[in-house]
This record gives sequence, C-alpha cells and structure tokens, in this order.
Amino acid sequence: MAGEILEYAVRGVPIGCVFALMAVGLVLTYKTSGVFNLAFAAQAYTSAVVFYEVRKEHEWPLLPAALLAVVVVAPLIGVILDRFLYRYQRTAGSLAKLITSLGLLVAIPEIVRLIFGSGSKKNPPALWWVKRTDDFLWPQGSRFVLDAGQIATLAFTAIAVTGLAIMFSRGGIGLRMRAVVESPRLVQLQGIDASRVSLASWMLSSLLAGLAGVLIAPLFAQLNSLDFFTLLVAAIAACVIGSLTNIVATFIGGIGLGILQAELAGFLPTDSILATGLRPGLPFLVLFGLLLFRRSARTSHEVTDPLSGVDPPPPPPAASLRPSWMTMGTRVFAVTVAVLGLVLALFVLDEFWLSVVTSGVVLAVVLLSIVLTTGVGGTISLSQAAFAAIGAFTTAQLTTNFNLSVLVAMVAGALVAAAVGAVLSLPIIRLAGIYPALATLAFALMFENVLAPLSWVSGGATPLTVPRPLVGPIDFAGNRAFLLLSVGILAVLSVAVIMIRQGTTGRFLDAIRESEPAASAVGINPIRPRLVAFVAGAGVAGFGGGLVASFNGQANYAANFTFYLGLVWLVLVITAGFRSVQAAIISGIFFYVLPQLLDRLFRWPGNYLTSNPEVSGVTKSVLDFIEPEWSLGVAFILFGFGALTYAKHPEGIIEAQTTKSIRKVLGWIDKARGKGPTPASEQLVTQVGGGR
Amino acid sequence: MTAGNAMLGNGQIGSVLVANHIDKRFEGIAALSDVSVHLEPGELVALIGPNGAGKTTLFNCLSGVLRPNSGQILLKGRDLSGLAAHERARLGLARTFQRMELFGSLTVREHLFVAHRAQRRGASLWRDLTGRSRPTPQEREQCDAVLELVGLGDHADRPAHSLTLGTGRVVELARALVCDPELLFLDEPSSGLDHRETEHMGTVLEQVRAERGTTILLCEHDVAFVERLASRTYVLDCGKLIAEGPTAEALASPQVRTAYLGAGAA
Ligand SMILES: Nc1ncnc2c1ncn2[C@@H]1O[C@H](COP(=O)(O)OP(=O)(O)OP(=O)(O)O)[C@@H](O)[C@H]1O
Ligand SMILES: [Mg+2]
Repeated sequence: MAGEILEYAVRGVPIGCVFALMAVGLVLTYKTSGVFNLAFAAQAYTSAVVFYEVRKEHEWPLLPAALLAVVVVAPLIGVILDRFLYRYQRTAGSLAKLITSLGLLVAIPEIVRLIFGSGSKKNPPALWWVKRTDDFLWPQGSRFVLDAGQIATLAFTAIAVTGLAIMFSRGGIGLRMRAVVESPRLVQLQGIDASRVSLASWMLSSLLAGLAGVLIAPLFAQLNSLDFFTLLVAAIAACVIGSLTNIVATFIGGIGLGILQAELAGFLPTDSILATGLRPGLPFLVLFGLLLFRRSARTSHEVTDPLSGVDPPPPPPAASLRPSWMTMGTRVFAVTVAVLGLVLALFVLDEFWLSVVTSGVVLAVVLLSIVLTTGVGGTISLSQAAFAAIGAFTTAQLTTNFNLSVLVAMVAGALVAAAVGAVLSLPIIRLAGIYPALATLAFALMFENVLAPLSWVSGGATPLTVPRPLVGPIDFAGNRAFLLLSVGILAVLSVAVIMIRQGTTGRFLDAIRESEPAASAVGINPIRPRLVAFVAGAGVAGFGGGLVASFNGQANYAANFTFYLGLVWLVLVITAGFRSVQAAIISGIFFYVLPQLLDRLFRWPGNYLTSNPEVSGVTKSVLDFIEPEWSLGVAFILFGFGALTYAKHPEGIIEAQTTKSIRKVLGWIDKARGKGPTPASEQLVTQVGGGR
Repeated sequence: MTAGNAMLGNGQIGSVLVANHIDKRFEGIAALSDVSVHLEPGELVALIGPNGAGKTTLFNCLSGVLRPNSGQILLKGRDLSGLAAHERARLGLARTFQRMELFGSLTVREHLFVAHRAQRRGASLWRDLTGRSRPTPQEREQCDAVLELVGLGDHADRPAHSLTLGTGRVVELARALVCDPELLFLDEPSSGLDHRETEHMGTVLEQVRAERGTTILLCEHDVAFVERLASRTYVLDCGKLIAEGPTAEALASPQVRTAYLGAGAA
C-alpha cells in the first residue's frame, strides 16, 4: 500500500512540474504587469508545435531544436506581447488586460496553424535524445520506472528552478523582479524601472510557458491546442493555492496537484464513474474548492490587482449624447435596415447564404446571453457555450426520449441551464476581480472534458437528433420559415434584455458597477442583481442552445458548443460592445458571414489561375500560396485581435463608432448654423474634477 | 477630565445610535480601540481628529463596510452586528464617502431614483420585463423635493461624471437624504470644496436638520465648520476617543490641543 502510494506519487511529480512551471509564469507576469495571461496556454502550444516541427519533421538534433522552441521562440513572443501590446495597457484595468489575453488565446493557435499547417501532429517527441518517449526508460526494471518524457521534465524543471533561485537571489533584475512580485506598491514608491522589470518577467514567464508546453506534449497522442487549455486550469489552480502572490507555494501547489491526480488515477478503479469523472475533473474541482474557501478571492480588486489602475469611467453612452430627434431617426433607420435585411434574406438569398444568415441569427440568441451576463450583469463568464450546450442536450434528450414538442423542450432547456447557472453562481458571484472569469473557465472546461462526453448528458459519441419545431399547422422545417421563427425569437429576447438593462435591475447593476460601496450604502444588495443577471443569462444561453440544435438537426457539442467557440463568441461580443443588443446581433451574423466572405476571397486566386493559366513567375507563386482553407483561421485571428481594441474602447467598437458619428453630425449642425456650440454639443465638455 | 468623559459609553434608552467598545485592528495595527459613541434624536454631532485617527474606519464599522473585531452597535435599540451594509442602509442608516463615490454614468435624478427604489421597493425582474419599472409619480415627487431642498434642481439631468467636486458632494448628500434616513453619516462633506461651496454645504445641512430632524454624525477637519454646526463633538486620536462634549469645550480641552499641535503646545 505504502509502496503504491509512493509509486503513484513518483508518477505524478513530472506532470505536477509542468503545472508548476506554467503557474509560476502566470504569477510572475500577473504581479509584475497586472496581466493574468491566459494566453500562456497558446504560447505553450506554440513552442510545442515549433519543437515538433524542427525535431520530428526536420529531424534537427535535440539541442538546436530545444533552443529554438524554448529559448528563442517562447521569450520572443513574450517580448512582442510586452513591447507591442501590454506596454500600452499598463494603466488599464485588470479586466481589460484579461480580455486582451483572451483575444490572444483565440488568435495565437490559429496563427500557429496558419504557419505550420493544420495537419495532425502525432506522437510529439520528448525533450530528450531519443525519437520515442519509451526508447529510454530509467531506472530499468524498477517499479519507479520513468520514460524519456518524464525524465526530461524532471531534469529541465530542476534546471529551471535552480536558474530561478539564482536569479532571484543574486541581485540585478531578478531581485528587482522578486521585489515587485512580493510588494508592488512599495516598489513603485522606490522607483524601480517598471518597464524593464516587466519586459524581463514577460520573457522569463513566456520561456517557462514554452518549456511547459514542450515538456507536456509527449503526454498527448497528438498536438491539439485544446489540450493546452486544460493544462491551464491546473496551472490556475496552483496559482490560487499561492494566492496569486507566493511563487514557492504556487510551485509546490502545482506539484501537489500532479501527485494528487496520479494517486487518484492509481487507486480509483479504472471503469468507475469516479475514475472517468473525478480524475480529469480534479484540477477544476480543486480550483473551485479553493475559490470557495479563499477569502482573498472575495475582496475587491485593491487586494487582488496590485498594479492595475482603476478602470476608467466608461464614456457617456452614445444614446445620451444625441438629441431626441436623432434618436428617433436612428431607431427608424435601424428598424428599416432590419426589415429590409429580412426581406432580402427571405426572397433574394440562395439556400446556402440563407443558411449562413440563419446560423448567424440563431447564434445571436446565444450571444444575447453574453450581453445579459457580462454587459448588464458585469460578470465575465467563459461558460456561456456550456450553458448553450446544456440547453441543447436537454432539448435533444426531451424530444428523443419523451417526444416532447421542440419549443417546449427548448424552454425546458433554458430552465435547466438557468438552474445549473443558479447553482454555479452562488460561489461565483461573490468573487471579485478576475476570479469569476477563472471560475467560469474552470467550469466550462470541466463540462467539456468530464460532463459533455457522458451519455446521460449528451447521448454519447453520436449526437442526438433534434427536429425542427412544428406549431399546430405551421411547420418550421424549411429554412425560410425557420429564419422567420429565429428572427421572432431574437426580437422578443432582445426587447427583454433591453427592458432588464433599462429597468430597475439594470439601474441597480449600473450603480454596483460604478461604485459598490455607494450602492450598498443606499440599500442595494450588491449580490442579488448580479445573480439574477447571471441566471437569466444562463437561461437565455440555454434557450439559444436548443435553437441551435434544432436548426442543425442535432445537439452536436464538438461542432457548435466547445469552450473554444465560446471564447471566440465572447471576444467577438466584447469587441463589438458587450452592453448593446445590436452588438450581439451583428456579432452573431458576422461570426458566420466573415469566414464565408474570406473563403470567397481566398478562392479567387485559385480560380483566377485556373482561368488564366498563362500567369507565371512571382504572381503565380503568390496566388498559388493562398489557400481557401485559411478562411476560418483568418476569421478567428481577426476576431481574436479585435479584442485588443477593448482596452481603448471598453464600450465596444460599434458604440465608439456611433459616438464618433454623432459628434461629427452635431459638429456639422453647429457649423451650418454658424454660431457657438449648441447645448447638445456643450454636454460633451467634461468638467475637470468631477466624478471618478 | 472633561465633563463629557463621564458619559463615555452611556447611551440612553431613546438614543438613535449606541456604539459600545468598538475595536478594529488591521493586521495588528489598532485602528480603533474601545471607542464608544452615542447619538440622540435630532442631534448634529461632529467627529474630529488628525489624519489617520480612525474616523473613516469608525464610519465603516458603523455602516457595515467593515466588521469590528469587537464591540456592539445598536440602532434604535436594535443590534446591528451580522448585518451587511445594505441591510443597515434599509434600517435607516445613510452615509456619504470621503473619497466621492458617485454612479458616474447615471444622472443626478437617476441617483435619487436608484436610492429611493433600493430603500423601498427593490428590483424585480418581472416588473422590469412587464415595463413597470419607471419611477412612480410619488417617487418623482419625493426625489424632486430632495433636489429642491439641497438646491440641485439645475443639475438634475446631468450625468454625474460631468459634475464638479462641490456639486458631486451635494449629490452624495441628496442620495443619502432620499433614503429618508434615521441617521446620516457624513465623511468630510466639505473637503475639497472652496469657500463658497463650503458655505452652501453648511446651509444645506442646517436646512436638512431644521426641516427633517435627521440625526447627523459629521466627520470634519474644518474646525470653523464644526463649530458652526455641531452641538456636540467627539475627538479621536490614534484610534482612541480623547475628548467628548459640547463642541466648544471639546475643542478647548488640553488633550485635543496636544493631539493637533503636538506635545509641546499643551
Ligand atoms: N483597509 C485598511 N487596511 C489597513 N489599514 C487601514 C485600512 N483602512 C485604514 N487603515 C489604517 O487605519 C488608520 C485609520 O485610518 P482612517 O482612514 O480611519 O483615518 P481617518 O481618521 O479617516 O483619516 P483621514 O482624516 O486622513 O481621513 C490609518 O492608520 C490607516 O492607515
Ligand atoms: Mg477619513
């Protein structure tokens, strides 16, 4: 027994080391630049791919391959991120920085796939002098035998730890970095060069992430960016063990998690529900448990975000700037455009484009949930796709097993999703700062890895079918009819979201967001309205999920509801403006239309070459280079990069653009009248010293 | 010993607020030690003390933002311990903040509506969805009355982020008043204001007390302001009450002179 415990522990240490390396990187950048850089998962994936390419495809020797992947590429990404991105966000709030990292998490894997091709990368090599991980085993014949991958992990972690220890104790930049990590405020007062410390820590932590990526790769049958997200959750759990401050505790926490995981794997019977559920779910459960019991996670950003500035007050909403005649005008215009668009979709588009647009409208229903939860409720939730999946699975189960009518099943799906949201929200809503985002990320990944594959949840490997609605004599089986139905549902839910936003709940939420102490001082419960918005958001997502399933004829998790898709949706809506319903609708349609447009664009060179075979030389090679398969990847990269605008325009680019146009129009009017500023534009002048 | 010292910790039955033996430590630093205060109906009492004396900490303990390490707080005889800030607010305890806390994107009138609604009706998703969340005529009337009282009528429809500091402090006061509080805590309402604005604030406070009879605890640095308004004064230094009594007496006591001017001056 004791021997077994030890044996499993030894097996768990290497993976624990990987968690620990990643976690230390997260803490380093968080404390030196205020960025909780979720994109380290993508950076780890990048280094793993680079190592795979040069080592396996191009058969480089170990040393140059490792140097390129870990010592050159990984820190280089860190330098780029710090110098070209985060440097300009130094005073931004922690949320803006987190959202930037979410955008990178979406974009970087797609860039890697563009560069290295999307072919499957099977059997990633170990960071060792052998071709296959089991070509080298040590100590031979012992029960504690380790393979090349595990040995490499132990060896390189030992090197990394020694390096860090020397750096942090010997003075120079390392000591300054440690000073910043341990006591950022004090350091700011003493005037340590924050810019250099930030650069150094970005390089160092990116190197650690790259190393972690290369080390963990041999555990996977093939390289897939999604697996690296799961690694992220374990690393986050380790960070929370160290309270996002203590590097040593973080490191030990990471290794402890690895050991705990291995013990569970060893002792739980392999076919039990506990083994299939608990083991992969462990990091999520640990993270959740920690967040529940850590009081520091509940106190305000002062404590959790030493470096981040206070989020700047949002610019005045565009609607408050314009005179009422202009508001009327815009509304009339918007309705006209919507009606014209619908007529166009119904009578002009062919079946293909009709289904593209319908997908967009259906998705917009799910995206409304982001407006409700995040825009109105103020909780960054990474689990909206999971709620949509819950709605879809419920709809599918009810229609398949109980012959329930689809629309009724969708409502049931919404209720189940809302119920799950309610249970989840109890711990999450009380969390402050970036913790709700981390907690929902943990839930979403647990859902993806543990719950979604279960047959009582999703129906198992083959997706359950879902019919299209049939209401009395009206059959929505046809695409045109379904589009009309979806537009109707979208309109009703949009109005509902607007009513909540403008109603008392919305006002209370505004008050809580602007100043929680003042809100509770006038008697507003700072938890309840946020909880209501979160649960309502989960419900809307669940309903939208049912609709998605019905449109596609099946509740297909991999195709429609993955964590990664949810991430893309979130950054898309945030970019467009997460408080506005229009932004959700435009995002939904854009999500499906942009890849199609890009596809047409990338197809054009090929078609051109086929019809003009005489073209040659550089033009030909350039045109030949462009692949139509790029479209989805390029679209996702654009979506991801879109999130980088958040720091500048937290209100969203649509809102920012509207404000700009209104100012311009008002300016023209003033000019045309040939007199001083009218009261309308006078409102724009913000007086000094007011508000926050 | 001043005459007032004999009364330390002795709230009477009819007191609006009685706080007994409040202790508050931050990581070992004693921010408040054994502080007892009581407030009688309709009184305007001042709380003064040098920077870092613990005045804001006392306000935070009383209003529920912080939990004291020990001590008892009674609002009209009701024990407040264990109640969160918003629950205390609904029992009639309103406050303003030293560092101004406004709802930047809301207009002045919306500030009052939100506060009024939070006190009395609360939010309901159902009412929002059925379009019954607009301010009622009665709510409008009461908010307008407060706007009138504090002289904010001209600014009612401006968003808070466009207001000057002076106006902002009056908005905080109005937001607290619309809750129709039993007891009002004002944390340095005159700080950052120029002479004219301070004058206006003083006038408004006098009016509030005259017209509504609200009990007020006022934390201030401006001694002239305190002398003008407060009938009684507590003096706090390094977390301890060092004097208490009618304003003139409290201000003249030797402990207070020592605290403010240093040991040599007494
Ligand atoms: N959240 C906190 N954590 C740690 N120490 C605190 C905290 N809040 C206040 N303190 C400390 O408690 C003491 C009292 O602070 P407090 O803000 O109550 O003083 P004050 O009398 O309001 O001063 P001022 O006149 O400057 O507003 C100070 O030493 C302060 O540093
Ligand atoms: Mg103070």
